[in-house]
Amino acid sequence: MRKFTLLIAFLLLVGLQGVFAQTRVISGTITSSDDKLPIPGVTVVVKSTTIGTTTNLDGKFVLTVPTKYTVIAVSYVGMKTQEITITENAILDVVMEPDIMSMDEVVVTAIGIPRETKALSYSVQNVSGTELQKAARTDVINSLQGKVSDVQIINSAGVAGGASYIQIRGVQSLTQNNQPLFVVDGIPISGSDVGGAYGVDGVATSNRSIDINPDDVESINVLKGGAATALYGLRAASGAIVITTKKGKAAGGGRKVAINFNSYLQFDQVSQLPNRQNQYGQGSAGNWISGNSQTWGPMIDTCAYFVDPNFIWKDYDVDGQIVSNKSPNANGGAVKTYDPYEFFQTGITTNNSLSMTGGSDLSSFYFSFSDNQSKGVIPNNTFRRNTFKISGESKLSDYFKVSGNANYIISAGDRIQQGSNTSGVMLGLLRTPPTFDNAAGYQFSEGYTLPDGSVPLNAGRQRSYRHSKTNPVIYDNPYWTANMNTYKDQVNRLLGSVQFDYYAATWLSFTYRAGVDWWSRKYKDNVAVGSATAPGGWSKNGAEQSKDFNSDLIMTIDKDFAKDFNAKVIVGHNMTQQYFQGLYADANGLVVPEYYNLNNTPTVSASEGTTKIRRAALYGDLTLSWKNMAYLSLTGRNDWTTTLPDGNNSFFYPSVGAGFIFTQLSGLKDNKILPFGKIRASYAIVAKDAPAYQTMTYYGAPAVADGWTTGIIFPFNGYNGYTWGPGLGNSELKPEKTKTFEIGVDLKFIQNRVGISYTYFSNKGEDLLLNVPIAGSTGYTTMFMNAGSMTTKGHEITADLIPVKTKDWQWTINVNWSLINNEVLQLAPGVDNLFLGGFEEPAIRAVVGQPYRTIYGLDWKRDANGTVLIDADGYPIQGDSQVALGNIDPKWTMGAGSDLKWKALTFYFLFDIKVGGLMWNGTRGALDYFGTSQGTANRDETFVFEGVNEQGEVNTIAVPLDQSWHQGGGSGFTGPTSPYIEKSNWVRLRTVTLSYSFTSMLKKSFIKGLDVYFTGTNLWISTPYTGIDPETSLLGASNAQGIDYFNMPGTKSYTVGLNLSF
Amino acid sequence: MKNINIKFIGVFLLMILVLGSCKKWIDTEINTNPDAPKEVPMSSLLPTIQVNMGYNTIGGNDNVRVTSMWMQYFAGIARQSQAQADYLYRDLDVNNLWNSNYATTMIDLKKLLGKAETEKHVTFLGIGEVLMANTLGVTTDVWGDIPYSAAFQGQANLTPNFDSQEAIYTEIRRLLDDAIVNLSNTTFKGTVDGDLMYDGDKGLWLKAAHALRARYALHLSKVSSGTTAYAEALAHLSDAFGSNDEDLAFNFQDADAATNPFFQFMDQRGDMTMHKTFVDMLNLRFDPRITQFAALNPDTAYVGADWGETGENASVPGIAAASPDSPVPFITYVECLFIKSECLFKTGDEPGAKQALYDGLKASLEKFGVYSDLYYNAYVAQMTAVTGDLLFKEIMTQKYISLFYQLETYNDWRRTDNVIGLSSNPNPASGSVAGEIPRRFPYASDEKAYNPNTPAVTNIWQRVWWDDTTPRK
Repeated sequence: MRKFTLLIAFLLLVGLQGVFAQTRVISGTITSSDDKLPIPGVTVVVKSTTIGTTTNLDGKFVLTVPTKYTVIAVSYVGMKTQEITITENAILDVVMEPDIMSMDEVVVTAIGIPRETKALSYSVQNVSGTELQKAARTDVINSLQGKVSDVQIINSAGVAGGASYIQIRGVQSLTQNNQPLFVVDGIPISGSDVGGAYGVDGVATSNRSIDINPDDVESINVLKGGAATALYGLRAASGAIVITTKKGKAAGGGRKVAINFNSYLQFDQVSQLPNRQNQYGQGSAGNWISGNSQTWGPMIDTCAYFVDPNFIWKDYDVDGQIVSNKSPNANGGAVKTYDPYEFFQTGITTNNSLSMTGGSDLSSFYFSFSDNQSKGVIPNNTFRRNTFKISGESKLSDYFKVSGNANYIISAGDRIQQGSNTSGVMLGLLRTPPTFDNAAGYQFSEGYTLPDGSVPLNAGRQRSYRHSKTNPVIYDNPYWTANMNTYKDQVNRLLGSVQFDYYAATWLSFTYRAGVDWWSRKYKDNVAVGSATAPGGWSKNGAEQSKDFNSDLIMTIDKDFAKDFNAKVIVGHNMTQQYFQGLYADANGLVVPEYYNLNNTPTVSASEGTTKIRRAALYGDLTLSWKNMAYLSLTGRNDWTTTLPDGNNSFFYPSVGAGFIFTQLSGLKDNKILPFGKIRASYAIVAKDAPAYQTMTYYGAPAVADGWTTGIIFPFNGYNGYTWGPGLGNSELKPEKTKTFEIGVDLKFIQNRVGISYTYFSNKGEDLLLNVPIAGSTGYTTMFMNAGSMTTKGHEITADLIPVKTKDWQWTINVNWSLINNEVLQLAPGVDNLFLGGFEEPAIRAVVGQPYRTIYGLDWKRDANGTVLIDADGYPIQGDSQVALGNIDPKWTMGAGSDLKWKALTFYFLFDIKVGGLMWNGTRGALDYFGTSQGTANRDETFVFEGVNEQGEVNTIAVPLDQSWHQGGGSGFTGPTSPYIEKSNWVRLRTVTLSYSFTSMLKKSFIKGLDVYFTGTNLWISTPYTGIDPETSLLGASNAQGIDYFNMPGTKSYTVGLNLSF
Repeated sequence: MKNINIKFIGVFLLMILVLGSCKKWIDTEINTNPDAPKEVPMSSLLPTIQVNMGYNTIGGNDNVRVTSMWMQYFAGIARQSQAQADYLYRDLDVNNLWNSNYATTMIDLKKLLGKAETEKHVTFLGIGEVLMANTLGVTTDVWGDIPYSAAFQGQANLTPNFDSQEAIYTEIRRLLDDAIVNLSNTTFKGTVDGDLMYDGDKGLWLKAAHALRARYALHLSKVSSGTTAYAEALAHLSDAFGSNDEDLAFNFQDADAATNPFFQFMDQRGDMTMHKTFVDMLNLRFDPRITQFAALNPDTAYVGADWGETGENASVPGIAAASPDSPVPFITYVECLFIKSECLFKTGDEPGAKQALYDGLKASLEKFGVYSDLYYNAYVAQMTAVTGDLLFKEIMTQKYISLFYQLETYNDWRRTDNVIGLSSNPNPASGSVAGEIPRRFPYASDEKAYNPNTPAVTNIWQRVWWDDTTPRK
């Protein structure tokens, strides 16, 4: 209720507004210093008021200004903003200078406050919407890849609608979300932090950043450090992605509305797949065995088919039985091999978006509609998104402005089972022997019997390489799972906000902004009767809804207190509520196959979950500047939260920052070599609260299962059950804190042709909250506590160069490089490692003394020097306890982009380089057991393992790398994990774009702009990783990156697009 | 300027108004999870306890499935089952079982017992004590010393001390003696809801208490003086079960997500078949129970996989253990008869022991629905001349067959030092003690990591207290 009272009061105050009789009229033409041509769409405003206009197509404007105002600001994207003092009616012709090095660039900082980059004491990086558009990525976040220093983005799976993980400057929190806060036009929304974290099995879902239409984005600003995000407080503890969307403006050029149409067509292909062996067939011990799980059968060259109409598996092994080509039965010719990768198809994405904008001096609107449809590289994997946006702005008086926007988004996916899942596509596909043809049918008609009249368990329904009369199907045929096991979800989302700006005096303004982010997601996860993962089938249903409300009241004072002294004060108040509710109902065991309804089962289980969190905050920011040379900024914020216990739930944290533009000093001013130089430093503390409901112990629904089976779901036989814990509540929780220090320098050389920016930062997390595993004998298995401590230190360098700039040519190079060192200092008492995700073995864990995200698993037994111990037979000995096997995060990353323009032709490319960081290739580990991997082609060879025997002598025994080795120490299934840890370094051509602008050719037509472009994504990758594209994550957008276990392969894509405006 | 000041003050007052509402806005009551109860009735704790005991504590794929491979009922032919059959059973393999016993079964039993005491509900109290005694028994039997007296205290003690196995056995006896008193109370009229095993019949629970009391007395046969363990067991048997119908067993259901754990394992994992040792033993005896214990192989024969075989042609486990609704026995009438047989034998009553053996066999055949006079009489005729050590071996062998796929046969095997004569895996995993079957489980890696009081154990060939006849320090 409060907020409405407030709005009404606001409006009443506006009513008090007096009428100003005295005005003067200013008019003029605005041109570019570059080509002397008029610039349409330039913003001309009276400073500190709502009064303003934009230039028309001829670069002309007319503005009526009350006499009490004397300063006019003229601004345009890519041009230096100018402030002009007026004293009388005047013709004002302004020549604008391009601001190619963005020195006076204005960026949107925390709480939506625009500031000049030069005044900031921390580093920011801004990416314009045009740059994003040609990257042609469905999820706008993916188009930031390689463009921003210290921002790591991992597209978790090459599937349509898969989630992307994003982290800024490493990680801040040990077990909580490390995804940045997404802020759209000042309103925090659900972004990459919501959805998209998968289990080791299931499907790859989207995270909510995918709902943003990239074509609506004007610019994205990445706020990295504590000082940058201090005003956003706890929700932005992991940084913030501040998105500014396109606003309505007068169309100009005699048009009522300006229309923009953007369209692209994209083709996706699987980029990289594991190598398989093609020499040996299905079976074991050199013998072909129909239905056998393994590929340790005979050498294919030595075999022939035996076609026998009475063979009971003749509909499975469609070419016949495999026998020696010397056998008298060999009547079917030589044995063929099949390429299971033919399963993949070319994915197609079409994206069409249309926007309209128009308006007058007093009001304007923007409308857009977009349709994005993707078909993945895996059959039946689709994603579709439609967005509608309308925004408007109206100046109710010279001092009062109302603006608002509403977005409606529908996104829907058809998703495919993946990962450690016997119905997962890659699991069944990669384990298939080269002698079995998955494509020769996946489903038998009803009532199918084997030639001997018997019905194999469930196999009566599914044709799969692994079959037997006594066991149901163990792995799904990939065609079966892609066609029969459907997972559909749909998101409906409404994002809206309203903002009131009130200029109370030349030095005082108020802004009130309220926004809601409401979305609902429904899914239906169907597994067909006869599938490996659930032979009885299931239909699982979920309905989730999320409602976030955010309100900010901001007072801004901007005043010159003395000569050369300016003070800017911001005082604000914030209220947020986050609410989430999920309702789930599962039908386990279907009576009628392929009928997916909750009533089609004797056993329905249901559950629900609700989360409600409220927060409030008071914040303030004081920025002092002296002669536009020295800047000092102080901020403070106090948060109140419901998730911490009374007494600990109110907490204050400050920041201080300073910037000094030393090139403003009299001796250094107007230097030709170094026109601009700034040093800056900041220190901030950011605190973060706990997740909801951790302060008490509760009864909960029991999870009666083990690591092997799906277990029991209550109610059991009509009885419901509860269990105490097993999470132990903690009544003494307090906020976790990150202390960040950042220092940097920004330099521009030689007519601003060379810009270099360097930042060093050091973060230290203290009292980090984590769900600590505790000894089971306490009666509980986990407890949330403030126990961890972690440091992250890093260096970031960005360099912008303009080697060539002539009338026709312009060549720019942008390079960013970042290095991060991270160390877990402390977990909890007795806890030297902490499970972040993965399997019992291996897992991604945080390990004390190691960088965050360590692969933790079994290794060979080693002597004191770390040399592998070899047993008397000549094979390495397996270790029996898990150890840290290496870190998954890169040592350094680099993005190098180059933009070459010749007249209307632009050629852009971006290399993305990652050095350091490991990945667990669990896929290869499993395939070594099954005998389908390239690594098992050496099965007839001998090998001398490097190591020492128990007497300390160097091993010299040559041993065969045969089936028994690969089903003992020599596979990831039965042996240690360490041989399957691989480097995931890469150099990739992330983006290459060739575009041509027909705009100047079409000058006389109704078409105002036409760009045509071709973009390639991931066209070339160089990596030592032997699996799929190492930009992958089994667990999606979760902290536990670095696991590849039958993940969906990554893709490369080719796009043709056009952008048309009229 | 005046105008501005009024507005300025007005807006600022409004801001303060909004802030004033903070107190209500930030109400920590909001942080109470609406979807999780803070209190639940005993009748909704008991089902959880019983289901979890059936699925994990007693019938779990991390305990009885593994010991049954060690006891050679089953062969592990692939993947992790193969490693376990090769005696590679690691600390991290038992986390689920350990945590499930402590953080589900026993903590919920503690809650149940606390409520039963507060509500003075002696029947719930007695049932809780029986199940706690049973859980402590199966936990200590594979791990030896375990936390109990200092356990279950949550934040107050995050690193509980371990009690000696001897002390745990004293507690098992105390719990069962107390349960016997509580379940014998005839004046208390309160009823029990949520009992999936006996539907609240306290007479049956009383019998189960006596049966367990006999079992856990017998477990100490190696370490107690003279024949006291046998005498103590015998004293309770007369008040224990009188027929197969009275068995304490958890009945799983042939409905999705309600099925037997071993069925789920075979259904979702496979990797196991019958073992040659057991199948050959039954084939040699023409034992009709094989039809229940094993399934026919593709050649319609009962065949077990030998060590190292991949089991392509072997029988898979049969309906007795691996059908969706196979029950998980906690303690049975058949076991009582074999306890009786062993105790009578050990206290010098061979004819009595032999009769109890016959009764045990008969009850077992009947339990599996394969009793015939023909088979029974032939067996009795064959046994008439058997006495002494051979008779004892036969008692334990019949018990081994009759208690197919139960944890108790692993206890018997250790307690009687392999009187039934199992040979060990000839090609065990590296690091194994040659020629020896493991004699315990490793402590869970989670407990080791988070509780420094966890005792050090050399390997899984180290014996627990009641199995260890070496002189104690």
